[in-house]
Amino acid sequence: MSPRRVLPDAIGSFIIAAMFPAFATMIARVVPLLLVASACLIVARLARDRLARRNEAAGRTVFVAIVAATAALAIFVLIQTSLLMMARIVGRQNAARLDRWYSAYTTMHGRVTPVIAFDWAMALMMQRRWNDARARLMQTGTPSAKGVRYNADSVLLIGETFFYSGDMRRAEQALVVARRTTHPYVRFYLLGRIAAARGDTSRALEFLAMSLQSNGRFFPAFYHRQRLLMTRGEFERARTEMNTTRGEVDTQRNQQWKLLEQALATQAVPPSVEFYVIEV
Amino acid sequence: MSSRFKLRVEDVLTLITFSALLIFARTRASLTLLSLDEGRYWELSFIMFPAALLVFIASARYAFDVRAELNATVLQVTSVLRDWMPFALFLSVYESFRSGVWAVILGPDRDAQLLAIDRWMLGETPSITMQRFISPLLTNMFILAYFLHLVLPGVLAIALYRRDLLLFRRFLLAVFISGVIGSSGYIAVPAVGPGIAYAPLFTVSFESTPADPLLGMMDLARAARDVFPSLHVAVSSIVLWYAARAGRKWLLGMLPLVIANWIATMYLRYHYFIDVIAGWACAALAIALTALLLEIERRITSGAREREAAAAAHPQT
Repeated sequence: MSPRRVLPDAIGSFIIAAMFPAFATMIARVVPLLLVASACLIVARLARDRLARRNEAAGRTVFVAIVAATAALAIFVLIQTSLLMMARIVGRQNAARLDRWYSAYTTMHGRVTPVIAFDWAMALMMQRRWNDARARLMQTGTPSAKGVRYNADSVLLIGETFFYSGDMRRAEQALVVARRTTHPYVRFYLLGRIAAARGDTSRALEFLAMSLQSNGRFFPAFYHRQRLLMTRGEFERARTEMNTTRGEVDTQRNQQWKLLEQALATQAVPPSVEFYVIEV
Repeated sequence: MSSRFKLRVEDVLTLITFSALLIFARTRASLTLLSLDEGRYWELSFIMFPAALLVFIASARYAFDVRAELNATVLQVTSVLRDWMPFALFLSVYESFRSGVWAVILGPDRDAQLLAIDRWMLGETPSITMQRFISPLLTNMFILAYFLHLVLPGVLAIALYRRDLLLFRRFLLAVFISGVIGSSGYIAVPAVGPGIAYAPLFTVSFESTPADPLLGMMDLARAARDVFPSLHVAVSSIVLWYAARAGRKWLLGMLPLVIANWIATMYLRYHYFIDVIAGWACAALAIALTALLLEIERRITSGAREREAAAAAHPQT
């Protein structure tokens, strides 16, 4: 594809994908700043006029001081906002940079809202920093009369952080609660993995089947289900399911598919592969 | 001139919505419903930004121009806040209310019925048909058009505010009444849209990976089950209607952006064609209701003025 064709698309994509979230962030923060600055400017003029009746110089000094303080506040808020805007611009696909920008933002005393906390948590999960991600996810809750409430997707992610850091008990507790997640196939997949780790292969197979029922193309669930079937010696069943699924998978480039085929051919158990599922 | 505060239609609507939210929050034992998270706040800010800018300009003029007088500045600032605030309050209360109500009363999704209507009218829902035209350039263009839904009302509002206060009020009132009508539609006909409900029918991706974070951001700005009617179409139709009243240049400037917005709602797989038709109907109803409510307000205020004049002419002894 020629640069003449690629470059406009790339520039357009950057402008739209990066600049508009940053623009929206700026607008949201500039509005209260404008109102506060307006109040300060009016107060500055009133103070100058009142003091100038007795002492012109004092009036000018107070005016300059208030205007300078207002300008300093505006600069502080704009720096904070620009750090947040940079985080919006780099996006989750640059997880390490996103984490640095959010860290800089909190260093400048920026408030971590539930929206920011969720975005930051996703970036930390992409870096496999499960404990840090969980700490951020705990900030995504909203207060209610019955305490802090978390949406089901946040609870699912909290469960994932426990799972990937090896705390199966807490992972299961969180996943059981996340019934209304918008990604049920992830929930069932992790519950299946937990059941398998506990030795309950029948229950594990049920959960993995439910995951595939929710999303027939979710390969992690498919891989581990096939592995479990082969662990139980059910190679024919595994072969049948693989033949059914063959058209859905890029069998040439999917390395895990090749592992399953090799295992089938040699009647061995394929290795346990860890898939890091971060889709919410 | 009477110095009494005159109640306007938008004030009454805000009070009604606020009261309804309070009652609902009380019955749910949750006053935390009266909150607005950042995901909603930036949408509100697009309306408040013009007002905040006008207030800042007036304040800066007063601060740095020795000839500027306090009374005139206060009058200007309070006029701006008085004219814009009811809409901002209404929007913030309304957003809080909507998300709270939905958690309680949404019924089963109606995507199947909406898809059936599209297929009866056109043979296939346009989102699926449009797959053959997908390209990164078109995707970015339609994302931009879809996003402008949040920018165009603010831009037109500030232009109308500077030339005709009544037209400004008509415009914003129509936008918010369309929101109320639209939300009633969401509750009556909940649906998630073709992109989510019928994802397996879409065999072509958008090929525009860098644009995906923006789609995610816009999804945050959209409420759940907000498909029928399309408020993107309703609000942009209202923008077009009042742009025409602002002048030919405004109409010609807005027309391509609005048409692109209409197409974008289907290209981006958010809406069925029937949602677009319902959006047009919602806009027409909102504009008509606005005219009716403002006419009622005019009659009440002119009746009050006549009574005042009569009382002044014939004071009781």
